[in-house]
Amino acid sequence: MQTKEMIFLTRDEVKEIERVVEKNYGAKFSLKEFAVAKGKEEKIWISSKEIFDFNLSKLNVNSFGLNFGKLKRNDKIHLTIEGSQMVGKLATKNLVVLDEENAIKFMQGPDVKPKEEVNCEYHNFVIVKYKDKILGSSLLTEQGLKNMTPKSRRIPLIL
Amino acid sequence: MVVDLERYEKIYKNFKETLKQPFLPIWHVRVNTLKISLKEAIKFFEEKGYEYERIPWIEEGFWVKTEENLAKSLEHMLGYFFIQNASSMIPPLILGPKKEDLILDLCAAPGAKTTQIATMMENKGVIIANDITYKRLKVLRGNLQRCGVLNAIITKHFGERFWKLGLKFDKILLDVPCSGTGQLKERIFQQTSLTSIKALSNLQKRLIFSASKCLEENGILVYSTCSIEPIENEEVIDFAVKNLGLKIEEIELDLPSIPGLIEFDGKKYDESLTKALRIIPSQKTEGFFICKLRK
Repeated sequence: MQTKEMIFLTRDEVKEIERVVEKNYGAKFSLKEFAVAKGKEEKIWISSKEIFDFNLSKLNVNSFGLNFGKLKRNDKIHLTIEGSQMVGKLATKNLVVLDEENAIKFMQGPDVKPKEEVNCEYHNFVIVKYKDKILGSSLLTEQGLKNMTPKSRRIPLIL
Repeated sequence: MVVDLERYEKIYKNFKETLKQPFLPIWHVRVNTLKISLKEAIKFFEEKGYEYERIPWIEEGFWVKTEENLAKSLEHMLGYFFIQNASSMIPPLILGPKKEDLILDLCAAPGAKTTQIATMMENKGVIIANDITYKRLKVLRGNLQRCGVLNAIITKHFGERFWKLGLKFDKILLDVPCSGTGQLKERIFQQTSLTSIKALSNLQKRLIFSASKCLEENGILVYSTCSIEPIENEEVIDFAVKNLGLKIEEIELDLPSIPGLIEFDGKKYDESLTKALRIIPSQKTEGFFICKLRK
């Protein structure tokens, strides 16, 4: 089953994504309960199983399900805010914690310095956390967190 | 020529007075239980020191009083809640989506009701969320993503031609484009004429025709508008009852409403229209029209 731009993945292909997630975030996150598809630019989309069984051929489909993340070179994955919220609860590595001031700043767009780093590798994507809230994922370098929050999800600087 | 407000005095008592009173400075919030629980939401309101009141007809709905801009808060950006007028939370409740349903939301953008339907279905089943322009689909996709919706397929078709695809649905939400006069904004009344209302009514009739063709036998269609204008409401339903084999069903919810009209401005409508609801415009609710139909 597929549309012009999104192709459902086989169980083996899905297992490969689970492996990349575990390798990068130390999370045994199962995608078994979802239908998983790959779209343009290596984007991974997940949806309810019922969507997999639905005949999409008659429809002019714009997208379906949720953007989970984007596969990157060298076995890496940049998770969306929603992907991070799903994986983040189980993550044991590449996790950074922010304080309140930097959490707000992070959601406004600028680069920030983490308060705490949990088993982090530099130049890899890390899940960003503030208290019990998962804020998304971003690239960690020696200089700090390079902000990658989508513009549509940012808190405007002037409220 | 702009629409004469006297017209609406015949429907609602003191309509012109109501129009002068602004909406209360409160946020209408629906907690997105796909991401947080009601308990967590209440804890958040209390920790922030917000005054809140439950919206009587929906467990996840709250009127929240705060000077802060909730639409630009961290929690909103993370998808913990949706800012949506209390009246607009009613149509999905009447549709009553179940986990196993196949649902069509024919005019879905910006997606407030679509995300509510997904929540009620616990992200199971399938929702076809349709709209017509890329601009509207972009907003819809953004909101479905923010709320963590997994069971929606976003499609781009003209609603009035959707029936030609030959698909059938258990339940259809038809929240049509309308004049928006229920929002009680003076600007809207200044821009609305009977001619523009009649043009909208024609489109609404074409949309309900299309929706009725997409409905399974015994399926449910909920028609709603945020307009108080009978030409966009009772007249469209009267057309559907008399021409499309749809029957109006009773709505069993306790709401601040009056029954649909069976006569207005010299026109007579089907008597079963008394089962439709007009949500009374007030400082806490937009004027809304809602009708539940079965094929």
